[in-house]
Amino acid sequence: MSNKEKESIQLLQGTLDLIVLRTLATMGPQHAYQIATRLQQISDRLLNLNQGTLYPALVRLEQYGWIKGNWGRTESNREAKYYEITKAGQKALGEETQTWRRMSALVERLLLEES
Amino acid sequence: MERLRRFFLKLYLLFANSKVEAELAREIGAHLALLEDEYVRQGMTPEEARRAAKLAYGGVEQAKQRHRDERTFQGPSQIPQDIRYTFRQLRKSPGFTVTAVLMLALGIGATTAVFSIVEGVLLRPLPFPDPDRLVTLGDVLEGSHCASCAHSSVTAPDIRNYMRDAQSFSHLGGYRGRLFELSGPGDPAAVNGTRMSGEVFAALGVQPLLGRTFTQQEDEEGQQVAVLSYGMWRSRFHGDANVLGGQDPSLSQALHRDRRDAARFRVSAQPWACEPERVLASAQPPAGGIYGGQCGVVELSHGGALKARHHRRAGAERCGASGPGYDARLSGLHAQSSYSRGGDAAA
Repeated sequence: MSNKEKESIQLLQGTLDLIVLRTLATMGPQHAYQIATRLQQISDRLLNLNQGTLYPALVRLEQYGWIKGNWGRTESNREAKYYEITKAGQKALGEETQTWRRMSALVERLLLEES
Repeated sequence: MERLRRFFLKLYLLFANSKVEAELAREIGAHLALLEDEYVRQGMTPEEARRAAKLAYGGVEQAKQRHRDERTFQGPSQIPQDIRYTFRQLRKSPGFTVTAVLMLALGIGATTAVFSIVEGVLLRPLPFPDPDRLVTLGDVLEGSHCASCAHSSVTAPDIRNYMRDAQSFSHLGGYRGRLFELSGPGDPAAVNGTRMSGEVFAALGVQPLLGRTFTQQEDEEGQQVAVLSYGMWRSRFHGDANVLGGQDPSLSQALHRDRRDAARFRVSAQPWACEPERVLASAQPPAGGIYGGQCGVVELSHGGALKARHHRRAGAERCGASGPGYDARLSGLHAQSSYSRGGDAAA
């Protein structure tokens, strides 16, 4: 096992939704491959994530009505399903971000006190 | 709100599965194609690129399954798969299968048997028009608090006194279980019969399938009349409609174990539910005093709901012959029959 893989972290339950929403909010409509690539970029390959892992999150968010998928064409003229964040998604992103901040701050505080 | 929306979508997707499945396959295919393009651009051969794309994507089937798990309720669509798997496992371990099946069979059998008994004895109403108004009456020594008092009886002379004096009942008659011998063509057979007075039929409110029942007057005149149970009519007389009338020589010979009583008697058959081998026979009116023993009274109370206290009073007051010191007890016929039915095996 290489060092890189040893360091890779598991995604926290529920955080994938937030990440996908945030990616779509900042980058505009994206297809699954783009989202996966973006995820790997920003995580500096720390996230050991199969690209297929995204799909459950995408269908979940779509069912919530937070994102919306439409078929389109890539620059290389391949077909792909582009996902776009909806109004409800924007709102949810705000709330989820708040929740995440509170949560991480709490854990952070806890860790500081412990040390 | 989102949860509700998602719930209905998941529900809907149970029925629109093939469409979504096709769309998913298309999406995954597109994703893999994009990955391949990327790897080719990095300098791989198409063959290598395809392998690398699959590797980067992770298991396609796993991704699809996770997608299915996420998008809809997995229970219903997995049922056939689960059933197949179950049968495969059961075939693999026959010992376990046999044990499990036997235990299930025993369990189901036992509960069914218990339910049948409870249903027959406790739940199903008696096969009479007004089962709730049928009661048995028994004399109990005043002040005695015995457990079996609910099943106490009345002596034969007292039955006649009750019939004469008690007015709270529409009909009132006596009955007594008795063993008879039935002979004629074929083997003689002992049958569980009931000696009863004519009023009992009126009290029960039943009509025979064929012929008629006997009347109180016939009873008092000592006419030789018998009523066959349906079961006996079917088994012993082969459901013969010509069994009626008493001309049939096969029936004219025997009725009682005591041959002195043997005489011609008329037969009528009626469905006598639950009691297969019961001949209801009347030969003699109860002779005063000697009859004794287990003598019950069946009656149909007058006014709607059964008021035991009222009837007891009525019976006791009007029934001087029952004598001071005796109390007339009433109990529902249903309870009574539940109690006695167990002992009613065919002879």
